[in-house]
Amino acid sequence: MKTLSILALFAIAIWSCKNEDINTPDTPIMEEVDTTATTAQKGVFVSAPGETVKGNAKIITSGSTSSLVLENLMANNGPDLHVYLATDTKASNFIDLGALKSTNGTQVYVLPNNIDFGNYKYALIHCQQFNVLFGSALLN
Amino acid sequence: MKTSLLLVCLSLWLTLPSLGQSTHDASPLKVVDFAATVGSANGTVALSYVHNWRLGKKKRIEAGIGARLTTAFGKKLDYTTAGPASLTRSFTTPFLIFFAGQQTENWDTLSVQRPLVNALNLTVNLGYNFNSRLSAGFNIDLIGASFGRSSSAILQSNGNLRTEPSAKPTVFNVLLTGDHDRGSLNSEFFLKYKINSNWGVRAIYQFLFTEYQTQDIVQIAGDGTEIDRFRNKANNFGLGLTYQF
Repeated sequence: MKTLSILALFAIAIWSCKNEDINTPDTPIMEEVDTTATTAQKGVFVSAPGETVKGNAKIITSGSTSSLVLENLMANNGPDLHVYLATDTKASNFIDLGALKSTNGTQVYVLPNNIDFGNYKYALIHCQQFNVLFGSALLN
Repeated sequence: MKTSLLLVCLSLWLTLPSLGQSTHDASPLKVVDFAATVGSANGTVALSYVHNWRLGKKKRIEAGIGARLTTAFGKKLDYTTAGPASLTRSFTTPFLIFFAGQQTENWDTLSVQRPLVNALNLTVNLGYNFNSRLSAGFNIDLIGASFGRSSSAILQSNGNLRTEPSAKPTVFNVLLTGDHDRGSLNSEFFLKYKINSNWGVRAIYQFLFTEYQTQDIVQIAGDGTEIDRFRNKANNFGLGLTYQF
């Protein structure tokens, strides 16, 4: 009976461990930015209270494709960091561009078509799991 | 769930006539059970007390009531629109609703980031003893209350994403069949093997509803109905350890 109890506890422990939070990679990356693209909007990241995010954000357009470029980003790490394009800094309405590729470097996120950039005017670094803003850039 | 209902109806049909014949001489079984289950994206632990009566001439049938505390947890679980049944099913007749088609075009998805629900419910239990060691059974939560962790969530509606800062477990649980249900409800099919006169182990298939309610934002259905309850349905498997007094 003792063995059974230990096995049950072990199974639960294994299950709970497999869902451990994983921080964002912090290895610096330097993704290639299309130099022929035109910059439509840009802004500078402002850190949220208690967090550190530095760097620039800009939306570039090449043909029919638009992308969000995070330039020289430096952010403190956290679990489940995502890149949002949002209507405000609370992410009341947002487009999820996916997990932040790295907390350091220059990175490019391809945007879906037909975004109303007048409405979705903030680039956010956002901890999705805990709903915590790390930094925001107002795109003008 | 359709299979569950059929088995429940069949079991009730088989057991009800014998209830009247044998309740006077049936000595009740009092059992405490601890169960743990896992699914593709969630898990549960449950502690329950079962009070069953032995029924029938050979006392092979068990039926009774109990209480169960189920704790369900996971990460980034998707909860879909939890009724009203008139929006989510093709027809809404109680019990027959199991056979109704699902109107998924009216569903929105609430992705609860850190769900944890504790549901304390009254249960009904049915079982059949094949021999002195092996039995099979079914149980389901009837009514109770839930409490748990508030969590941020993301509501996906017609391709748009919105943040719900603090979704909470639906407080009141009640089994009303299909999408008439409300709250968090656990049900199990199991095979039980008695190791000795006190201890036994169970192999469990679990069908689990958990429900979260938004506080700040709602789904607006096509007819204007505002919906704030969202449900996750999980098929889990697990083990249980029972102690019979």
